[in-house]
Amino acid sequence: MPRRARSALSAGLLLPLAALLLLLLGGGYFGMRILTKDRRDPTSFHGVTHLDVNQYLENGNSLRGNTYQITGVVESHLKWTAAGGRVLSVQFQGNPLPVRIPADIANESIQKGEEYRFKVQVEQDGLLVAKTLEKI
Amino acid sequence: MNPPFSAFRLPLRTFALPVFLAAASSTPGQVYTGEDAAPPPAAPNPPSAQASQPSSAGNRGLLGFDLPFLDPGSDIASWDGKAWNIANNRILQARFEKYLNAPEDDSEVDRAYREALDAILEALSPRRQGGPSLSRATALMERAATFEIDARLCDSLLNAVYGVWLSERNVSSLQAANRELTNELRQANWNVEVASERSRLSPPPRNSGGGDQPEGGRGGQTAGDDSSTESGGSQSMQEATRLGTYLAQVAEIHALRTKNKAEMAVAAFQQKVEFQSLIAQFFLQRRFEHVVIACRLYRKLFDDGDGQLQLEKGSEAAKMFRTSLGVNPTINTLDSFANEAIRDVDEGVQSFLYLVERDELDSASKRLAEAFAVGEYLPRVRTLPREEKRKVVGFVRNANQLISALEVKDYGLAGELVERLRREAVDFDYSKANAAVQAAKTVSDMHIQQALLAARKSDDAAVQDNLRKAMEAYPTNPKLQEISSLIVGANDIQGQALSDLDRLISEGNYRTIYKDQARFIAASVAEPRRQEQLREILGNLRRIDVGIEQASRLAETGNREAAWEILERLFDEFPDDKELSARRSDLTTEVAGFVRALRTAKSLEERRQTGSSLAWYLKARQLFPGSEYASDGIQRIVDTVLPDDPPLAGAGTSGETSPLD
Repeated sequence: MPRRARSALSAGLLLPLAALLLLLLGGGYFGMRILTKDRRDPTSFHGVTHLDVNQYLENGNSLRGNTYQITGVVESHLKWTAAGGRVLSVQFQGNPLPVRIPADIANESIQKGEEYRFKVQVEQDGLLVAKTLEKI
Repeated sequence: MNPPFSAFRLPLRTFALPVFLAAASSTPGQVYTGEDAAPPPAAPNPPSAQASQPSSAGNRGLLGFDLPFLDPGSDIASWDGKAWNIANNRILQARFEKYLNAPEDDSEVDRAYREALDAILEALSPRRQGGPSLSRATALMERAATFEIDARLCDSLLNAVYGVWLSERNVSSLQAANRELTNELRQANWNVEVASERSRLSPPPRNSGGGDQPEGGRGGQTAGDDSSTESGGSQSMQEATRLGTYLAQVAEIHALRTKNKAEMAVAAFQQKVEFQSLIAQFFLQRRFEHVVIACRLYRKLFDDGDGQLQLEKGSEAAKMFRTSLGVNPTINTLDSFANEAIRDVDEGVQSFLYLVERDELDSASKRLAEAFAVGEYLPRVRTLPREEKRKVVGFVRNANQLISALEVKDYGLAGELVERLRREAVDFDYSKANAAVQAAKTVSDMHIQQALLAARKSDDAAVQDNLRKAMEAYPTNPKLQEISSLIVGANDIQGQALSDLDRLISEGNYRTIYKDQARFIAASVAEPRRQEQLREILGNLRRIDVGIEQASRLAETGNREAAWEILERLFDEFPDDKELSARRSDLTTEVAGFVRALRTAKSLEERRQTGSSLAWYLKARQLFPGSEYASDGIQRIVDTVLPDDPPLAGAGTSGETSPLD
C-alpha cells in the first residue's frame, strides 16, 4: 500500500503556517525599524539617564559632556536674551537646578510652574544646557 | 575811698595858684630878662612824676610857657610835659611817713634859729620904731644863715642884697661919670660956638680961578695978594678942622652919657628881676618865712614903688595871674600868699591835734598831711611833738598800703586793710575802697565761672579770654589758682587720654575706645588728626552696633537668615570686631543650611564651576528668598553665562525675565 498521505502536508495546514510566518517576519522587521529609529533621534529621551543631582551639586564640572534628562517644574526664569535664549530654574528632586535653554529651542512657550522633561548636556562650565524638552 | 595822703589835695588846691606861680617864677627864665638875657638855667625837675605823659612842649621854653598846673577835678598836676597824681605820690608819702617818725625840732639851736628869723622880720617890719633897718636885718641874716636848718637861704638873700648894693654903687659911679660928661659937653659946646664964630669973622677966600672976575681987576693984583690969599685959605682950613673936632667931641659925649644912662637902667632892672626870682624860688621851696623877709627887703632896696613881677609876656604864669587876679602879680601878692600859707599851716596843725584827741585818725592824718605838704619847714610843723604824730603813723601806713594794694589790684589784701582801717579810725570812709574791692572780686569771679563753662564746652578761645579778663580784674584772685590747677590737671588727663587713644588704635581695640568715647572726644579737642581717627572709629562702631541690634530683632522674629546677612555684611567690612564676630557665629549655627549653600556657591563660583555654583545660589535663595547674597550671586553668574544682547537699533531687549513670564 502506498504511503501517500504521510509525505505531503495538507494545503489547509500550510496556508496558516505561511501566514503566521509572514506575520512574524513583518513584526520583526517593523520592530527593528522602530528600535533603530529611536536610537538615532536626538530628541528622544530613550536611554538617557537621569542626572545625579548630588554629584552635580558637588562637582558639576566632572559631568561635562554628559547628557542627562531631568524632569521638573519650572521654578523661575532667571534671564532671557533673544540671541542666547533663557536660563531657567527647574525644581528637580527637591533642588533648584539652573538650565539654559538655547534660543533655537526656546521658541516653545515655557511657563513658570509647568513641568517639563529636559534632555540636558553638561557644558564646559558645568552648566546644564537643554538639548530638547517636552512638556509633561 | 579817701587815701590818707589825699590830704595833699586840699592844701595844694588851696595854694595851687601861689605855689605854681612860685614854681613858674622860680627861675630867671620865667621872669622877663630882656632880649639879651642869658638862657635860663635848667630848673629842678618836680619831685616825682608817677605818671608821665608825652610832652607837648616841644621846643617851648621850660619856664616860658610850661607853667605847673593842677587839675582840681582829677588831682593831676602837670609840669614840663609830665603829670602825676598829687594824692598818690610815692615820694610825698615817704616824706610824710618820715616826718611822722622824726623827732620834733625843739632843740636850742632850732629855737635860736626861729628867734633869729623872728628878729629879722621884726627888723624889717614897717611897724618898727624908726622904720625898717636894713643893716640890722642883714646882720641877723648873717647869723641865721649859719644854722643848718636854714640851708643857707639867708646867705643867698644876703648875696642878693649885696648884689643890689653893688648895682647901686655902679649906678652912682655912672651918675658921677655922666655929671663929668655933662661938664665936658658944656666945654665942648663952648668950643664949637667959638670956632664957629671965628670961622664967620675971617675973610672968605678969593676965588683965583673964577671966570667972573674982570680981567682989569685981576691985573691989579700982585704977588702979595697971592700970598695973603694963601694964608687966608690956610687959616680957614684950620678953623674948620677945629670946629669938626669939637663937634665930634660933643657927639662922643652924648653917646657916652646915653650909654651910661642905659647901663644904669639895665642894672636896676636886672637887680629887681634877680631879687624877684629869689623870692619866687623861696616860695616854690615853701620857705614862706624867707619869702616874707625877702619881700620886705625888696621894698626896702627898691623904694621906687615898682613891685610888679616881671613875667614874660604871653607866658602861662602871666595868663594865670591875669585870669585869676585880673592884674599883674606883685611882690605884695607873694607876700600875702606866704603869710596865708603860714596861717593855714598853723590852723591845720591845730586841727590835727584836736582830731587826734577824738581818735578821728583819718581826718587827723589828712589835716597833718596838708599842713606838712605846705609848711614842711614852718616852725608849727617842725615843732609838732613826735608822740602826737605817732598816733597816726599806723593809720597812714596802712592807708598807704591800701593804696598800693588797690594799685596792684591785690583786692584780697585791700579788703583786709579796709577792715583794719575801719577798726583803727572811726571816721575812715571805707565805702569807696570796699566797693572797688567787691566789684573787682565779683567781676573776676564771674569771668572765672564763664571760663569754666567754656572749658566744659571745649571752647578754648572763650576759656582764654575769660581767664585773661578775670586776671585783669583781680590778678591775685585765689580762684585763679584753683582754676589753673584744674586746667593743669585737665591737661594731664588730656595727655593720658590721648596716649590711651593712640595705644588702643594701634591695638585695634576700638570697642574700648567706643566705651570711653567721652573721655577721648574731650581729650582730642585740639587734635584734628586724632579727631578724624576717633570720628571714623566711633562711626564704624555705631554702624556695627546698629547692625547687631537690627539683626537681633530680625532673629527674634524668626528671620534669622536676614539677620545673618546683616551681620555677614558688617563682618566683611569689620572682621576684627569681636562682638560682631560672636553674634555672627551664633547666627551661622542657627542658619547653617543657608550659610552652607551660600558659602558652597561662593566657593564653586571661585573655582569657575558655574553650573554648580548657580545651583547652590538657587538653593540658598530657596532657603531664604530675600537673600541678597543669593540674588547677587545668581545675577552675577547668569550675566556671565547669558550675556546681554548687543544693543541694536529697533532690536528687542533682553532682561532677567522672559517675555514668556
